[in-house]
Amino acid sequence: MKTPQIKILKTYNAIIAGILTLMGFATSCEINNAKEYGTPSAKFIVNGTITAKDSNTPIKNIRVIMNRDSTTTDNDGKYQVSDRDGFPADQLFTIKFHDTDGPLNGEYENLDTVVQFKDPKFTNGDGHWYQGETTKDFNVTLNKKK
Amino acid sequence: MTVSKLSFRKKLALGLFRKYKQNESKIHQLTYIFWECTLKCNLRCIHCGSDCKKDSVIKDMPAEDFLKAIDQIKGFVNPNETMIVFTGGEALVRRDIEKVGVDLYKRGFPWGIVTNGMLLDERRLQSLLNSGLRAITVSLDGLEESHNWLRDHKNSFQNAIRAIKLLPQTEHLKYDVVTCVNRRNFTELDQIKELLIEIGVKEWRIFTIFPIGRAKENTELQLEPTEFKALFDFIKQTRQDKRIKLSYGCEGFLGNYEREVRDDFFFCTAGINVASILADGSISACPNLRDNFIQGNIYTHNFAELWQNNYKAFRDRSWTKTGICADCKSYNYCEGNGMHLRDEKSGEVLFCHLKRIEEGEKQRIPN
Repeated sequence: MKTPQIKILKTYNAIIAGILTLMGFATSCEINNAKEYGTPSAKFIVNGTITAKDSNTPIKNIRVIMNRDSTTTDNDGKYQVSDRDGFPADQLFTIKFHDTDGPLNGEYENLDTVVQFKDPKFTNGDGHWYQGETTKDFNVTLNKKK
Repeated sequence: MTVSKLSFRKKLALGLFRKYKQNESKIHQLTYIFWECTLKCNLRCIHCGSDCKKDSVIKDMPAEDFLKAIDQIKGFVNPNETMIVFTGGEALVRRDIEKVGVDLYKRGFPWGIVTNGMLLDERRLQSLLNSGLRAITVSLDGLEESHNWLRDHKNSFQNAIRAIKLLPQTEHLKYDVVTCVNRRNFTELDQIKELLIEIGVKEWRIFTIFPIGRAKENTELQLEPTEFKALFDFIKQTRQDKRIKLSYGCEGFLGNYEREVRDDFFFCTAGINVASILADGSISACPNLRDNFIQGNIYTHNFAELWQNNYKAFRDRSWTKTGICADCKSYNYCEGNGMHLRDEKSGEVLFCHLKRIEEGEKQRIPN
């Protein structure tokens, strides 16, 4: 099969993976990541600020989950999560923003979405299988619960 | 919840995933290579799917022959994205594993091993790590008595535990423990779970024993339908508890248990992403696919050409719609179960996970 056809099919599959993630079936298409014996690794760090869509003010205490890492936003609505076992190449992570503290700090709709690392550059590798870390800013806005 | 009555949402997702699988088949990017590096083994397991023998007289493949085949594929795979896993027999019986590991490391391939743990002490693990070992899987098939019974060796349990205890302390090593569940260790699952948690193991994988190799003759190894169904309830509950990440192996479409007992929907990637080089040089998909599933041999074929041009039976599974699969409503999601569960000669399916769970459901519900 020629390379352009492969690229089209890979794009097609990335779209399917995205839709499945939005349907709540994240990782179903992360076939290479889910392999049983692992591969070279890198750390993928996601930073960002969560704000309310209507008022543009930061929201604190929103639960942010990415793979096995989770945190809550600070008083400025800022968060950082990371994945230490990602494969050092283009990556697509499912990231979840959940309002778990009820009416405290306002009530917001949960958001499950994906964050993409395209052509990531890694720093501070160990010269062996660990190729270092890469960072991406990912700001989101949440809708108020109706 | 019944196993075969899927929600609309899950049906929709499985339909999309089917398209994904079709695309993957067309792309067929090689990402995983098993090397059956020896048929020699220091155990004689009752359930073994390999052809290995304790006193095997079959000579090991010279390392340079294997590396020559690997060099043939270097042009069209990204070595860093292609995992090579040593299996056997017992891979650690081979004394040049470390040397081969270094040679793979120099070529940029990550590599790992599957082991029974008999020869894995601190010193050997360090030696493997120094050679670039990236991942390891150790088998634990029960508490002491049932593990030793299955492995047919009085010290196999203590050696496996010694090996497993080394893993959580080792940085940057991907590892898991696998358990082949059978009728003897089925009742011990809770205790095995607690044992692994106590040791610090984070990932545990469960297989059920399928009817090939030595297991074909020993039906005692296979769970009864009610036990089989209960196993998936156990895995589901353990995952929900989140004290250890437990997953079912890569085989079998599981109906409503899909995504409840493992991270991914069922997808047999044999011949699509996975190839094997067997002890005699045969090139196959997974190591337990032999006879008619063999695609060629490293001594007579170019591995790269074979991967690109053969494997048709793996990449178009329509031929599997025979026998009990012919009128199965879940065929589109399953596509004939794992290839290792098709008879190597006739191609008929040997075991259907979904039907087995359905049987378990029926037996549990009183009339």
